[in-house]
Amino acid sequence: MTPEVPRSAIGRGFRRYIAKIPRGALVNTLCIAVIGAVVICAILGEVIAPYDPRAQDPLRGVSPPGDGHLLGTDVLGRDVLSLLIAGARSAVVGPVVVALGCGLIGGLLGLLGAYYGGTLDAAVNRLADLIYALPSIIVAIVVVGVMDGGYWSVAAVLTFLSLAYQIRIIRSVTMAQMSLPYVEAAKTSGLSDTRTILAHILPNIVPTVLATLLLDFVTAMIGYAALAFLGIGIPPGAPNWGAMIATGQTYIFINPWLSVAPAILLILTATCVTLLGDQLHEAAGRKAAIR
Amino acid sequence: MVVFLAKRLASLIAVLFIVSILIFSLLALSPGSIVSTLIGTRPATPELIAALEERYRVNDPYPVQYWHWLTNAFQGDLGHSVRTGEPVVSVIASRLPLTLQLGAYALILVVAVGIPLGMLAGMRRGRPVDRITSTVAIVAMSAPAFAVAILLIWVFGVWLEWLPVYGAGDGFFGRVYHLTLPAVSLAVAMAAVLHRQTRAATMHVMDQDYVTFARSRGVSRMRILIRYALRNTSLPIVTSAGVILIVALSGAVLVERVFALQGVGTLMIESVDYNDLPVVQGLAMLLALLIIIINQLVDLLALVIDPRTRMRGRS
Amino acid sequence: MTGLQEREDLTTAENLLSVSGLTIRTGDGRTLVREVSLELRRGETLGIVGESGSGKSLTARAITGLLPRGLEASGGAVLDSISTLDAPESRLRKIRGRKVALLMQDPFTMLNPLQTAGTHIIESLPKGAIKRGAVGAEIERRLSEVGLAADVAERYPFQLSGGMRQRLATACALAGDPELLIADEPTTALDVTTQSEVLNLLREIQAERHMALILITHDLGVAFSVCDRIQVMYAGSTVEEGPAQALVKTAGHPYTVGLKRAEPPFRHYAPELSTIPGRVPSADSVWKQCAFAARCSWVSDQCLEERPSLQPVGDMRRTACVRIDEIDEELQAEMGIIAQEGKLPDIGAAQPLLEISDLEKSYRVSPLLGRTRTVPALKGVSFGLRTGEALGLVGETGSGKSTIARLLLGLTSAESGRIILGDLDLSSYKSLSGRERREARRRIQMVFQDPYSSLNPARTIGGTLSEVLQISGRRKIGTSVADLLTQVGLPADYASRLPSGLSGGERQRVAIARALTLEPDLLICDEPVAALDVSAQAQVLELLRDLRARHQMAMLFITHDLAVVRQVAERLIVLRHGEVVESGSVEQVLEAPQHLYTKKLVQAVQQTRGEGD
Repeated sequence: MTPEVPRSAIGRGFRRYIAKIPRGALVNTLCIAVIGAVVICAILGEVIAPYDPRAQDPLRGVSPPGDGHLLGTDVLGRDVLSLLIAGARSAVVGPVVVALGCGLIGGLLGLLGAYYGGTLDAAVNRLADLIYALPSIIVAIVVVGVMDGGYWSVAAVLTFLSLAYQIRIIRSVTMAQMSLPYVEAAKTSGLSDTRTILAHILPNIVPTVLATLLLDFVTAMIGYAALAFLGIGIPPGAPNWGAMIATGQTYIFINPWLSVAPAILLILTATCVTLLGDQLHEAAGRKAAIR
Repeated sequence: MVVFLAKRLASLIAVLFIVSILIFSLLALSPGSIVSTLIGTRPATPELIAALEERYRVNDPYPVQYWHWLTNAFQGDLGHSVRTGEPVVSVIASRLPLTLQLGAYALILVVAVGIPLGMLAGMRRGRPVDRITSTVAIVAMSAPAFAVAILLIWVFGVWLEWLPVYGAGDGFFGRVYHLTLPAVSLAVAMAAVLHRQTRAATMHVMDQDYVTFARSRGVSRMRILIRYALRNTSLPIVTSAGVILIVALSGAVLVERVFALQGVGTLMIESVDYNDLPVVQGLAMLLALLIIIINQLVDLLALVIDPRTRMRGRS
Repeated sequence: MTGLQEREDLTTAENLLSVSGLTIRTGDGRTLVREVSLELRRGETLGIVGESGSGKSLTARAITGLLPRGLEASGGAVLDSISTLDAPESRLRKIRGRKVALLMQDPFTMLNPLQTAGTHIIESLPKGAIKRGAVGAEIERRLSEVGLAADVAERYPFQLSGGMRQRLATACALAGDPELLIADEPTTALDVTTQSEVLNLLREIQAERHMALILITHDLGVAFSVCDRIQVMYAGSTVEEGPAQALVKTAGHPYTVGLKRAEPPFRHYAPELSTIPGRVPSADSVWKQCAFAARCSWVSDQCLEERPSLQPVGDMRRTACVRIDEIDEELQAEMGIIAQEGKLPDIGAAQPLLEISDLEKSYRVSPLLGRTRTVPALKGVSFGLRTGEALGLVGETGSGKSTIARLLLGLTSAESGRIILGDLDLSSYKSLSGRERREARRRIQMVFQDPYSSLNPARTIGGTLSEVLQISGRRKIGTSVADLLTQVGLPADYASRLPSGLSGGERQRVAIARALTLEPDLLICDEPVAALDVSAQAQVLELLRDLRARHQMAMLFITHDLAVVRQVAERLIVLRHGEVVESGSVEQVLEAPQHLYTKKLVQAVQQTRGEGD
């Protein structure tokens, strides 16, 4: 579907310019840099913040950038930049736990379901179907909201709700490997099931597992932020991007950065992780195609 | 065909029944009794408590409570809101139109943008159209609706002052005008996902032998586009559209909140905040019904599109 | 008239297609096809023959302007005074179907799954050629030309068999009444009996329409049976070209000799299968020398000096062999050796090893609409196998031959029937103890069809082999991975390589080495050479014969290819729709088939190989 029309010189120049937009190494480096920065903030938090994120200045209140405050101050007079840095921790830790948890549980369920088939597989599949039909954030709002749960109950609920994706992906890539003769060859050579799974199937699905972990992280991060935006799962007043977006909305005419900055930060972090996950996914696909 | 539909309907009712038990029990087990919520700051006299307990049947055994709720639900009575005392059904009915309008608006945007751009990108793999739209799609996909909403408010409401940032507006044009930003916020992530799905499906189809074979016979470009690319990609697109719609339901709740729209989503948040269980139960049932209908529609559409699923088993 | 003058006549206005200096490169600069030329007159049939990687299919695609994405063609291709390499897509679209049509290999992927047969034909008819009222009659006429009934028009591709789909695709390709039909391996994906039917159809249609035909195939026999002229390609360039009648008898290039000799004979057992050593190089690595030099037994310094061009020899033939004058006699002598006949080596007295009786197995199909059906795969199959014996299991798609292998290995289970291996009852793997199962799997090993997926892509060859060596317990007695590799004729340093660094034939050797590590009593080979090129095929067959003799193991050789089975098996079982229709010694069954189906099979093979009539 590529008509071979003669291209004008201008068109060609524009195309070359676009073609030069780096997609590989540079983008990856940028993504890793952004993620690295966020992780450092999450670990060090208050230590590297220019101000104490808890230091209030009620008299100052909401103020636009300036006066030593790069992004202005919030309604309690706290420094927005410091709040953002301190907020990285609650933005990252929960999602990491969710990704690992559902990677472990969902991955295992998907892998074993696909490997052994039968009733186990049917049950796992049903579970995934069921969870897939749930609007996750609404369920989280209702469950955590009604139960009055905290940060870690959000993690539990989001882990459960992310299982479906994890199970489906791992199950389908395992099935794809299972249908290849080398797995049957391993079985017929008399290798034990454990050995077949660990030595033969797992190494071939690792890139996919990593990619799904990253995407799980993004989903959990968005979920956490959405709940915090509604005031669910975090203590009031704690530095948190989602909560900042909500409280800042009222003052968007005075200091837009109060909610715009955490929104951008949230999108940026999520995008970088998605991009990396996407590349991994594509690499896994290419590897499969080369064979 | 009749047997098939009857089977489907039966399983649908069974699922709805199970869901209703789940929803009811989950909420019935929640901490904080309805009675204390109702009493609030009033002095809790034994008479008042007794009257409220009687009215909300809190002392009945759990299955009895459920039975009452279910039989009433069948008659279109989902109980009364704890907060306002109005019937749940009419509370929901009054909020529903706005949400449906928002959803329809967003859906039109999603389909109008996601599918054509996705097909274009899929057919021009590696070309500028593909690179640009795909990169934008990755960013958009990672952007939660409420964050997008804030950015849109900032740019179009605060900075450019082109569009209203809250309220629902009156009359058809007022409504469209007011709902533009909310609909766009809601549509962004959905359109991105649909773009990616469409792109992948199109790339897959365009790589198939049957497209090359059609081209080798001189079949016209338009026909290849419609009868080959669009028809063969529609199956995976429809399947993913179901999942996208379900995800979008969550987004709608948050977007309504950001733009202070009095729709079903804000009703849900208010009810959860207030522990207004009858309303939450009613909304949850409505949601479950909606999701089941979406899934059934997706399956039916797949049957209509693909003769193979009609006549042969799905492997 | 000398050959040279004849050549000049060919290149005059009579030519429908002339390709000159066609070169195809990938986006990153690798060359896949280098300076290929060909000429075709109206109504003439040309066979382009070559193994995978020879560039034969890409050449065809380039002529129709349908190269896969990312590939670019340069040089010239003129079809009826239209230059197809640089014509814009809009122009090409007008000549595709009307002037040239391309018929592709796989009938299962070539048709739009959501469109009926009739619609496929309608859309392929030139616009405005048929009046509205006459469309039905036209479809019927087109379908009957390719031997399909009128009611096929209403059916979807998935409701048609492979052969019917290929016929339908042919009708579509012919709908625009093209002057040139390019058929790219049109029968490779089909069963033997269907293959000969489709080839006959192509032959008939070509003659009737007096249409030019380019037949692309890996099978010299097929090309001989259909084409006037033949062009042999190797590693992206043409090595020989000439009339089919001449090529049948003599060869003008060592590669052609190798190709002809590597094809196992169908009529007799050949005591020594001839092989071409080594593997096909990439076009880039040999662009300054003779492409075949590394595998040629007549190679000399002058072959490596420069890239040879096609030189005329004898009547209308051209060859790229620079030494043809010196070695011509030897080449022709070599061609004669193929006919050498022999007897299968005697395996001597043998004990019963495997006894299979009344095996039944069916699969369940549950459609969305309608009720669940069970499709039988095996309907009471019984046979036995003695120690050291090689039994051929022959059948077409759906005959149930692979199901038998899977049952023997416990990869699936049968509904009823017994499988007895010595003192082990393998009727149900599920009821075996762990020890018995391990024992069964040590005694039965399998070589799979597709060497590209039967080795774990993430593990080195050494890793794959040493793992099995561990289980076998042979490591203790000093067997090493290197020993295993040497046994199958591979260098020991292959242990550190990944499967992706090996050719198909080499991978299949590794798979054989893996199976033999456990020193099985029975080796099941499920189409072990079907996915390989002819040159690699002969190598693997030779290896299997050699190893069987050395290890005294029984072999169950599953194949669709009668010529291949002739070279390895003593006894033969013919399966059809899950039933044994004929069994007996290989000579008996192939030379004097009793059952109607076996007769049809044998006849089909003779026809496609051009040995019939």
